[in-house]
Amino acid sequence: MELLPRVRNLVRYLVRGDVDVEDIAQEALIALVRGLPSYRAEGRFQSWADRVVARTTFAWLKRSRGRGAQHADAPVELVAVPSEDALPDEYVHRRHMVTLLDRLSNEQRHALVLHHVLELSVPEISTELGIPFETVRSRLRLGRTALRSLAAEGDGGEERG
Amino acid sequence: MSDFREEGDDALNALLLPLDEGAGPARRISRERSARMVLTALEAGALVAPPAPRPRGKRPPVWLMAGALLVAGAAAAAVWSFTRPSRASTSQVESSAHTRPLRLGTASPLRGSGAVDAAPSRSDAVSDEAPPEMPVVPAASIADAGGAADPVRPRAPPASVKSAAPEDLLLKANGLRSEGRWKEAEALYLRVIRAEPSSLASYVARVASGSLRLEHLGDARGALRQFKAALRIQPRGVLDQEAQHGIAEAHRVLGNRDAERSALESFLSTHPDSPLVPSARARVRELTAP
Repeated sequence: MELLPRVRNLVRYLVRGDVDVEDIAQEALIALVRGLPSYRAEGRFQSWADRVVARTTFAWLKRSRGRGAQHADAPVELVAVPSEDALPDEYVHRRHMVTLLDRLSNEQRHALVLHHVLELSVPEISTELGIPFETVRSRLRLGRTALRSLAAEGDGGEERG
Repeated sequence: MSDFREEGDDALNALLLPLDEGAGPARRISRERSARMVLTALEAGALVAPPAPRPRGKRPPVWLMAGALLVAGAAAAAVWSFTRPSRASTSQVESSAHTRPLRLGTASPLRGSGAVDAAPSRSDAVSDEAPPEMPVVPAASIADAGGAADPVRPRAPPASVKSAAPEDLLLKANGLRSEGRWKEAEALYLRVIRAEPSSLASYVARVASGSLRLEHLGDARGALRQFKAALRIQPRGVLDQEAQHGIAEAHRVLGNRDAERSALESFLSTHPDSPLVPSARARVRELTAP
């Protein structure tokens, strides 16, 4: 139960829009429960769990590729269900960030999330995604530039507004 | 995790914070919904419970299938209950934890479940489109469309379940199945299928029926029809793994080597992470060996 917010948050970081988050998170939870016997207490449990969730999400995205990006324009609803234990500022900030991430390519997005949100190193990401080291660096570089630009665009808009 | 940092990280660290259990960016959901998700995952976790003792070496493990059916059946029944909150039920099982609204694991089962994607072909059709009000349906009525006699002839279910709702039937069927009362369970699965042929519960019941026929009722041909029908109702549904593997198993029992190999290859390409992959690969190798 305690892990659920983390699972849902990671899924949302990795996928565009909110529509599929619950389904993927449910699948990830099941994968976690099924995978528990294989967990060896060598690292942090959360790190293991994060990777299981990320892999489940990538597998889901791969399966859904044929269905197209039908959820890209899903309406954003900042406060869907009130919660007394949520910090409004933090929540709004994260929601804003993820809407910026929604505008990046999946490749750049995944590299950024794995690096900045999960704090994986470039070699670790390279292994996780099965792509060359240099490709990871390139995606990170391009993703950072794009995200900064999007963030600045938003700030500029707010200032002008 | 690693301390390895890239150039330019600092500027983004303020924007993209490390993951935690705090609020966002996922939308907020209610505690009840969270609890349901966790419960569903824990129930699904029961799939990896130690399998019942069975002879080794004959067929790939099917305990996963049986467990999945039990859990998914319960979940489907619960989803059904959730979508019909106002319906009163007289069944005792409704008061169990399984009837709490649950959420299944993938997107596909619930989406697009409103209709069967394609009408069954003549050879594969299961003639289960009888009126829902039919109280007890003998298995003979689902004999294959070609007219072959179906070896599955389940007894009528107990009178206490005759008037039960489909979700209750599904739970009851799962209970009978766990007690080894295969034919009675099969009769109830068929009633669920007839009640709402294109529903999620029907999908689960079809896979469950296919598994029962294959494993316990000696009806591989009937099992094949049920698995195929399930895939038509919900392609890539939550029990896709079980249905696809079931098709391969049914072909194996029927001695259709080419069809079995084809089904296994399809299974392997669709579910490369399945625990059944090693046995499936080994079987493909066997089938392709000169």
